[in-house]
Amino acid sequence: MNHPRKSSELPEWGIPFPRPVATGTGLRIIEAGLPATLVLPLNQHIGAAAKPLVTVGEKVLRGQPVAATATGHLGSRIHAPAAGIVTAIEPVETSARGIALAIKIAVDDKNNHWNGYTPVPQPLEMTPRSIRDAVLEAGIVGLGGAMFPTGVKLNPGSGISTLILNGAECEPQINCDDALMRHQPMEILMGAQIILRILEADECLIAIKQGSDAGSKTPAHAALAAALEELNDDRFRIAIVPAIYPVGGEAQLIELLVEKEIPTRGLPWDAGVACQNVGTAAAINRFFATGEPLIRRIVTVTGKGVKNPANVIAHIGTPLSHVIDCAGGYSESASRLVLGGPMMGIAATSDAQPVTKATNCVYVAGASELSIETPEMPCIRCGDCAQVCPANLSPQLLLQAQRANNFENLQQLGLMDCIECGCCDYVCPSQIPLTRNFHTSKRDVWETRTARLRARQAEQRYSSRNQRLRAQTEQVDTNLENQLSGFSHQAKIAPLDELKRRIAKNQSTSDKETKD
Amino acid sequence: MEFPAPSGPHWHGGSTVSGMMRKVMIGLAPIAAVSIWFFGPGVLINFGFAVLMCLLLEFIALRMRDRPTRVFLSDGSAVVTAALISLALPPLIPWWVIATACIFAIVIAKHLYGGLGFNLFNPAMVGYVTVLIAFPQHMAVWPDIGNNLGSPGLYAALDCFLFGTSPSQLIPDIYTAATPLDQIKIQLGQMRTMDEIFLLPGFGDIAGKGWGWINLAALVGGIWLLTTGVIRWHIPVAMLAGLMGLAYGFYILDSATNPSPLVEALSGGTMLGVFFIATDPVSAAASDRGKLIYGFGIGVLCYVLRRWGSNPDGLAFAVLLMNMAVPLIDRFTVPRIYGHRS
Repeated sequence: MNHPRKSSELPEWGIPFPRPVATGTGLRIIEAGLPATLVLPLNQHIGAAAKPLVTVGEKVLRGQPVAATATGHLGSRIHAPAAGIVTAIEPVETSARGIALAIKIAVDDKNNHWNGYTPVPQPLEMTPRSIRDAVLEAGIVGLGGAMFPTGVKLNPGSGISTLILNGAECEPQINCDDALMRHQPMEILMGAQIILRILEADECLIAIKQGSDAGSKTPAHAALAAALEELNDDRFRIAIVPAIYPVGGEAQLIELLVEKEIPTRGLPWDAGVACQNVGTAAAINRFFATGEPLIRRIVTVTGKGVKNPANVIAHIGTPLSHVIDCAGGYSESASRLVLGGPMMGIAATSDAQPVTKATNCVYVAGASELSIETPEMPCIRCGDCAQVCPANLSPQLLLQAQRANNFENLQQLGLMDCIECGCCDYVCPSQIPLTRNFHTSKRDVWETRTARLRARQAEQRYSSRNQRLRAQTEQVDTNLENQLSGFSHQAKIAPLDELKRRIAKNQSTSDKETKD
Repeated sequence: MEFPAPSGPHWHGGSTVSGMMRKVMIGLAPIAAVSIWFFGPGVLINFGFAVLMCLLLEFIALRMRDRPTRVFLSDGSAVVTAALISLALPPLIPWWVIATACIFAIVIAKHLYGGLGFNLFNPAMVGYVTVLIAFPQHMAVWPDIGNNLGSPGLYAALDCFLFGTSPSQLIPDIYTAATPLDQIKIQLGQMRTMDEIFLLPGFGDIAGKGWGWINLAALVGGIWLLTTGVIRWHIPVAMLAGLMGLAYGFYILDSATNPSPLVEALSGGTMLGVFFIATDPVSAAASDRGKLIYGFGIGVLCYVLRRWGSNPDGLAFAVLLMNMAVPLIDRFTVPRIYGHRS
């Protein structure tokens, strides 16, 4: 397998973290089994929340769709991970996506399958369009954590030359993709073949992180290489990327592997590249091979806060406490529960919330792993943040602009290009929560933009309405003139004035309404 | 189970402001040691008093500004400022001169601009320049390294420090002399050539006696700072390029009346300035390209002020002048953002 990376140098950004081959998780994968109750939030994807298809008290079967994409919106389907009875549809709190409606299912018989989906023996013979529809139907979203509906992402039009299969896992600690590559390399490759069929791309690069020993192959690399040999598809190539965070970021991988930049506000396909997580590929393959939609995934349960860190196959909707039990339960030092990795993960207040499609990792941090709480100091402009920023921003200048509330300058300095990887926070000697600050500012910018857009739209509506009314008045004038042409001047004027007065009155009241 | 949920990232690399300042202090150790060797205990007295003054002033300023005193007193920035002031000032100098420098550094340059991180100008250089202008007679008196009589003793140093006794009254005149940079300026003005100047007792093989070692010691400490990542190469390299490049240009034109680039690099406060003063991140340019411009500007200005200015060493003024230019440099040297066209 030759090495397609053009530049052998390390990237000029990021933080080197040694590769977490087996962060105590070992090489095994544990089946989490089913909890008594599954909780399915309806917003497990980018876009609008899904609309429930079931009602409370209804019996559902394993794999049955329970919520569908809201009409006309970006979204995804949600399926019942097990057979059971819908006990409630009520709001639950999720740390990553706020409070959302969720369908609660009391599990009764896990083997009672819904037969709406049947295996497709030859998916490669389907048309790209029907494959895409099937992927949408299966409720598959980007499993790397981005949660973007995959069926939508697989519709870039023409001109895609390269598919990058992302197995490079951004963050330290997370290794669910690594586990998947070790255990199901063939499923990943077959899923990738289906994706290649849709995209009509020429090649597929499988990005894997370099092991601590650069000379030898990691287990995942070896497993994939063996599967590739068996598959004998010369479109595939394995690309080893350095263990630098955030190398698994889409833009960063593309920069490293094909030396192209995604233009700002652009998408990977602007660079002729499509990027999919290895887990997503495997999920696509599973749907075609077995008819099982996206109802379970591998979750890394790790950190010093659990006794036996492990990779766990968990059903979507399983409470976090259940998967933590699979990893031996909490250790005494458990002091923070993080959904995702230590860099971009979001801390959760409670382990009652469920595993979602985006949950790649449950990181239970031990006290010794966390950064010590030190007071925030002023920025001393050391510039370490600018050195590590993968987007090549200058966080120290952004911070300055933010403190000055200078939104124009903030945007000039590329605030909206911040990927919120947290590298700047990690190196900041003043312990400034830069990422959090930028996140807040980004939201402010969005809100200002939306407000401005709304104001402009209202203005347009107002002026077009005025135009319409003016035209109406003129029309009435001419019509009346024509009708009253035989009458005396006085007789003509009186009703005309009356009508004009009424229209003017009507207009002024509606003006007031518009202003209100 | 319930957990606290602060915002991420949940890991931190462990670098701190006080850690950086500690490294700067370690980097200053070689030049401090060599300075004490050549100039005697006066350097230590300066340092001790400057540290006390700076911490006291920092404390008062923080109190008046209603800022947490513990956090900011322990960040080490005031101690670094004190160290730079004491290394920049002559070692036989009355306490009120040091106190004035500290007041202007900590109160005026630092806290009136908003404290740590907000000063436009390098505090130590503001303090230094203030007393250079206010007390020129004290600032011109340096122990004479060239006479081989050893450094002034503790009593002489204390006498100068406490009572402002002029070293020349206290001890034989031969103990003190103009610095080599001063000598070069004076002698060149009297139409002597560089070769003749180097025959004077204050000069060694490369530069002024002792001063070459002092600069080499700062170079060693500076290289250590570079390897530990506290500073980056852009400013030192650009500044030396500006200073030595210009010196080289004049030197090849006429080597008799222009000091060689090596003399410039190893005289006065060059290396201290290159590695410890110009690299102060707060008052320096932000981007790599900006740092190159900033450093180069200091180097060029330093040469110009040394050769044609009225003070023997123009380094402090060069730094302050370029500090002024930093907002402008920053504005035009923002690096190209990923995904944007240049």
